[in-house]
Amino acid sequence: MMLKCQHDKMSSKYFTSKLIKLLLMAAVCGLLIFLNPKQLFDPIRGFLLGITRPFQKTFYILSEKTRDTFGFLASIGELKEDNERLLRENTDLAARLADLESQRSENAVLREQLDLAPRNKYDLEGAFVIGQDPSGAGLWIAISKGESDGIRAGMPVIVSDGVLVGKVEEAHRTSAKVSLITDPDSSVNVEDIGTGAPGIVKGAYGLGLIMDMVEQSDVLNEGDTISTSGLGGMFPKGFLIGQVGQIVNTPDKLFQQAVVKPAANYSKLDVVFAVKSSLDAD
Amino acid sequence: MMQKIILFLAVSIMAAAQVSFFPNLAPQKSAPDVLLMLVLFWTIRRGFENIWPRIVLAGLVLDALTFGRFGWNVLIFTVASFAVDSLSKRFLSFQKPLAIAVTAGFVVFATLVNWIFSAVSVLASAHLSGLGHTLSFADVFYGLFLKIPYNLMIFFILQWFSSKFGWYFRPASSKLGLEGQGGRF
Repeated sequence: MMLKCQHDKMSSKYFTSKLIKLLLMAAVCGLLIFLNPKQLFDPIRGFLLGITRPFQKTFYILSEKTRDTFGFLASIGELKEDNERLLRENTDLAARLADLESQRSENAVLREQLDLAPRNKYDLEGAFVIGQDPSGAGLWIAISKGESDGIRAGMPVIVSDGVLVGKVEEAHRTSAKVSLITDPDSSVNVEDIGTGAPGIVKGAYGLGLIMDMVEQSDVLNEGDTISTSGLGGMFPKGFLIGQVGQIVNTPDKLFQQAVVKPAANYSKLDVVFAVKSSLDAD
Repeated sequence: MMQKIILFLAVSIMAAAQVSFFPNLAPQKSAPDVLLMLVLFWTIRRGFENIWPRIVLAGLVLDALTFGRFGWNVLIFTVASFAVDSLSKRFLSFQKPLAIAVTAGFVVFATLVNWIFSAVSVLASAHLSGLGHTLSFADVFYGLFLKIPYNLMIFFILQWFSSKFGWYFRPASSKLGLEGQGGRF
C-alpha cells in the first residue's frame, strides 16, 4: 500500500514537472507566434537557410529526377499504344504545320496588341526552385538566389514565357521566399484581355485561382485570357495569369467571380525569373 | 560537441528533405512530416523531458525553412511529444507485435495532432480572408489519409536506420524496449 502511495506521489511529481515544462514551452511559443519578432529572428533564419541551401538544391533536383524516372516507368506499359497514336498524330500535325506557320506571324502581332510582357523587356534574374510549401497548399516556393544576387522583397517572379508566378516576399542573403499568386493572402490586379473587365485574382488554398471583384456590368467570358493590369503598381501590366473558367456571382450578388485556370503548374516549377527592373525605364 | 554538430546537421538535412524533396514526390498535401517523425522517435526512446531541447531545435529549423512564424512548429512538436510521452507510460512492457502496433498508433496520433494544428490554421486564415466558403470539408481532409502511411514509412525507416547504424541513438533507454532488449521490439 505504502509502495503504491509512493509510486503515485512520484508519478504525480514527475507529471507536474513535465506539465510545467509543457506549459512554459507552449507559453513561450505562443508569445513568439503572436509577437513574431522578425528582426530578431531574421538573422537566425538567414543562417539556417544558408546552411541548408546546398541540401535543398540537391534534394529538389533529386526529387525532380526521381519523379521523372517514376513517371517514365509508369508509362512504359502505354508506350506501344502511344507510339501508334503518335505516328497517326504526326501525319495530321504535318498537315497542320503549314497552317500554323502563317498563324505564328499573326500571333506575334496579336501579342503586341494585347501588350503581353515579352521577356526582353525586363532585367531578369534566373533562379532554381529549391523548396516549396510542404503543406501542399501551394502558398510559397523557395528560390536559390537572394540579396547577394540583387533580389529584393516585392519583385515580381515569372516563368520563362511571361507567366506570373508570384512575388518575392522575403529576401535573405543566398535564398528568397516567393509567395505564389495561389496564396489566398496575395491579390493581383488583373484584366480580361478580351473584354477589358478588371478584377482581382486571389489564391484558393491550393485549389487554384479565383478572379474576384468583377462588377456585374463588366463582361467575362469562359476561355478568355487573364493578365496583370498594372494597377496598383505591384506587378507590371501584361504578365499572363491564365484563362477564365466557370463564372459565378458572389453570395451578395454585387460582383462576379470566376475560377481561373492557371497558365503555369505551380507545383512543378523548376526555374523562375525575378523581375529586377524594366529595361524601358533605364 | 561533435555529437551536437552532427545532431544539428542531421536535423537540418531532414528539414531540407521535408521542404525540398518530399513535396515534389508525394501527391498534393500528403508529403510526410519527417521532423515530426524524428521527434516522435526521440520521444519514444528518451521521453519528453529528456528531448525538449531537441524539440526546440527541430521546430526552429523547420520554422526557418518553411518561412513560418518562429515557434509554430516548436509548439506542434511539443504538444505531440508530450501527448505521446504521456500515453507511452501505459505501454511499458508490451511484447514485440503489440509494441509495433502501439508505435504505429503513436505515429497516427502525432500525424493527427499536426494535422489538427494545420487545419485549424488554414480554416482560421480562410475565414479571416473571406474565402471560407471556397473550402469544403473534403478539401481540409484531402491528403491526410495518404500522409499517415508515408509517416509510418518514415518512422520505421528511422527506426531501421537507428538499429543498423545506431551511431547516435545508442545510449538511449527505450520506453517501449525498442532496442531489442529482453525479446522486446
